[in-house]
Amino acid sequence: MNRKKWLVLLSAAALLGMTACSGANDGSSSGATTETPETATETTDNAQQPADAAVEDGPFAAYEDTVTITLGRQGVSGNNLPDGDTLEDNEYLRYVEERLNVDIKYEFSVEDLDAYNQKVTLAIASNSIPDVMIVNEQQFHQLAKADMLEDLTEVYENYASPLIKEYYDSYSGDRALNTGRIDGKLYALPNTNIDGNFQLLWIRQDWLNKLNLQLPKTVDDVKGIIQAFVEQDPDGNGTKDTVGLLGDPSIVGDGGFFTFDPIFNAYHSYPKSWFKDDQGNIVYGSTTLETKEALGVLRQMYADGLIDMEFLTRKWEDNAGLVSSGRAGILFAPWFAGWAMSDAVKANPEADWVPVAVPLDDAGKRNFVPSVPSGSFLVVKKGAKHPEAVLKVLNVEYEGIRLIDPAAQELYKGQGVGWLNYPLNLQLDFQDALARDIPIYDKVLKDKDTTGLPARIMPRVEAILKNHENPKQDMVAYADSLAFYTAAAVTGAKEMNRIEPIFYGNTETMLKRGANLEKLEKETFLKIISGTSPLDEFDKFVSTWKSIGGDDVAEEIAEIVNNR
Amino acid sequence: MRNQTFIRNYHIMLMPGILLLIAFSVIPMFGIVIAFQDFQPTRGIFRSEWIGWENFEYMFALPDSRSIFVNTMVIASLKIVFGMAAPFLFALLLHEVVSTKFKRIVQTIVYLPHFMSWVILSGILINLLSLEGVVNQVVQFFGGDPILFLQSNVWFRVVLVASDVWKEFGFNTIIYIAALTSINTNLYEAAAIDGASRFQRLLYITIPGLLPTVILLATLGLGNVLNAGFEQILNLYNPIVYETGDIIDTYVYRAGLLEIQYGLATAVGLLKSVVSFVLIAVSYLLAARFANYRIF
Repeated sequence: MNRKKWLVLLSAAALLGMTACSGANDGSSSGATTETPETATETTDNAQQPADAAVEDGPFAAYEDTVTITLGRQGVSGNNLPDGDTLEDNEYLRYVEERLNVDIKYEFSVEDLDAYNQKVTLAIASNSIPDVMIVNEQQFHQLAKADMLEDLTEVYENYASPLIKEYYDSYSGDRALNTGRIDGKLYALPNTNIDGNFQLLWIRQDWLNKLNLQLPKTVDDVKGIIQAFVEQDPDGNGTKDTVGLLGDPSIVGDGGFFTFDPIFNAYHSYPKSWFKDDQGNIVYGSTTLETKEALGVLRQMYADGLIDMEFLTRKWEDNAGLVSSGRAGILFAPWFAGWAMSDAVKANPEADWVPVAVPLDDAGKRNFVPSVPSGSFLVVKKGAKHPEAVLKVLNVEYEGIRLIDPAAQELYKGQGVGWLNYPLNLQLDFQDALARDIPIYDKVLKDKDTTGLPARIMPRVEAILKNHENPKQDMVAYADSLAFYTAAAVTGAKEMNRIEPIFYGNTETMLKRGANLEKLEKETFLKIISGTSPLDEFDKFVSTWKSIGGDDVAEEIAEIVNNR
Repeated sequence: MRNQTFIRNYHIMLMPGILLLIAFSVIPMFGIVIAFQDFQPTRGIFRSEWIGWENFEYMFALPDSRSIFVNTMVIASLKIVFGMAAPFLFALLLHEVVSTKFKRIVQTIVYLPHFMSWVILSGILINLLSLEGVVNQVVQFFGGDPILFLQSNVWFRVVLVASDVWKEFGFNTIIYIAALTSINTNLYEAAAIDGASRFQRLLYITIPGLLPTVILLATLGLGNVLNAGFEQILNLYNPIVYETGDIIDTYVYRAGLLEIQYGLATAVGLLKSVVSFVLIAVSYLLAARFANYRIF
């Protein structure tokens, strides 16, 4: 829950800095920009709307009369807004309003992700949703099934800015946008999960040095290191207070912190994803024999004290506390954990967290399952008066987030205010957003020359240069550098072996019965790992899972896949 | 004639209560039809599709339904038994204390936890019961191995019952203290003159004097048997202890509010209501028979 909130915040912060720099993209997105600043100045200069601004309708056209949109959203914690400004009233909102004459009215904003989801679910149940909100996949399908959503197919075609369309188009086969389509109609704008969100192995390099250990290559190496960390007092304080590998009760999860995905993947097990086996059958990754084997490995590790004994009762912040207090030295987390790790370094400058690629499998490959293309969905209420206004707000917002519009660069300049304070927190970016910037950083570090780089990448480049010259002196620069440069580069390791699932998303039965199936799976896996149930409980899980809906789901997926 | 006005006035005074009952207890009853529907919020109760017993069939096909039912019964029964025994014994002990000042102080201290919410208490409990927590340090001091209380299906119920008893026994003691004051002190004096020891006085005067209160509370508790402590469990449990700790209320909360399975959640809730109804009827009969407690 809180882990998820962090995940959202961190990746959001990450995306702020990541922008396209290849020539092709610069060309087309600046094409969209050329006309917009004019519109902006016009609207700002004259409070009375100029008649000609509204004549031509398009992605950035302002309204003649103020249009009001009601919004329900997840709030921002620690949003750094200067005194007097709030989530409901800040420069970002005024920027949007000035350019479009669209007034965003908050219907609700709830900070905690769980509480937000409850609020949304209650709004759905009472049939009173705001004009626009961001929902999860289950809620999206529930809304669509209940016919509560506006069809955005044409609105998207006519009003999405070229930049927004480019983001979606960067996903092969329209993978991202397709998740928002039902029966060919676009009912939601999905977010886009960029490539490279799989877990890396984060290790305390200073502890390795102290114990004369090498960076690990295989799962066995990892086990050896954990054992040394737990038993040989790496921090030298004389007490045996180091916990093993950190864990999270969710066990596996796309882009999750402290999950065990890499261990599963090293044994060719890919839980929670759907695949086709050699015979062409549709197989659920959590039910394979390889998964049983991987569970056996984790079970042994837990029994040997190599996995944090109390990971089941730990919350995200408990784990973060273990990291910052120097009681944990090894964990799995995605590249954007760089920010979380910088907290640990702030508390203890000696701590030197380094990311390395996940362990190799028996064939010398590093297996991983790419992120699902999207996980959250921007939906517009059926019957909303101006569904296109939502698209326009998104267009203007992204010109601001990417610092394309010069006016946006001045908003809260140098005050560290996050873009999440923009009204719509939908993350959009190119599929390869992470990888495409690495060569630029490499070149800048080599030449020390920043001329010719676009404004929107400059903050990042400066941070990396700053940290390169004076490592760990400026914590913000250090964190950015660790995430965007050091860790992001690791996501492109040579032996990476992408295991592509055959199906993303939810089927009818999954929406209806998925919660029970997931509960069964989570419960069984946790019990096996923690030694509460024998490993053979896995076989019982597979048969129960099939009988309470798993088989139906497999059939539905087979049908969908065969009809493609 | 005068008598009739009298009765009419009574009925008028009854009206607000009945109206509230209708508004908040009777009208929402229609919501239970959701259990037989594929409920869609936009269509509402009247236009959602009827699916007969499907939700119930699925509920009984789930491996969970039996365990949540058993868990609810077991946890609630244990809580009733220990939740009654602890304040009873404590009241007896307190009764024997001579110093009124000391009595007052003790009473105040033990009923304080009653006013704390489970959100706060669970945080404290999780800390106390962790591997490095106080409880495990005591266990280790006596040569035992540290125990993961909240990750063990053996210990989880013990923790639930013990912490609930600890939270509530002080408050419940008040009822027994009140009952104790109603015992005629002449009895004690007479017994003392006849040569009864303190223990005999306790056995033959105090305990029989408290028994009606005990029986009444026990039988009334039966009607509450399916309320095993939603808030407490929600704040303390994790997937490993679903097996022994997941109760009907937490299940309905997860399924209905978090997973949007309105139909299934209502079906489970309805089952709980039916069982509760039977238990309340039984407990009322028992209360009438053993404690002469009647409403009608």
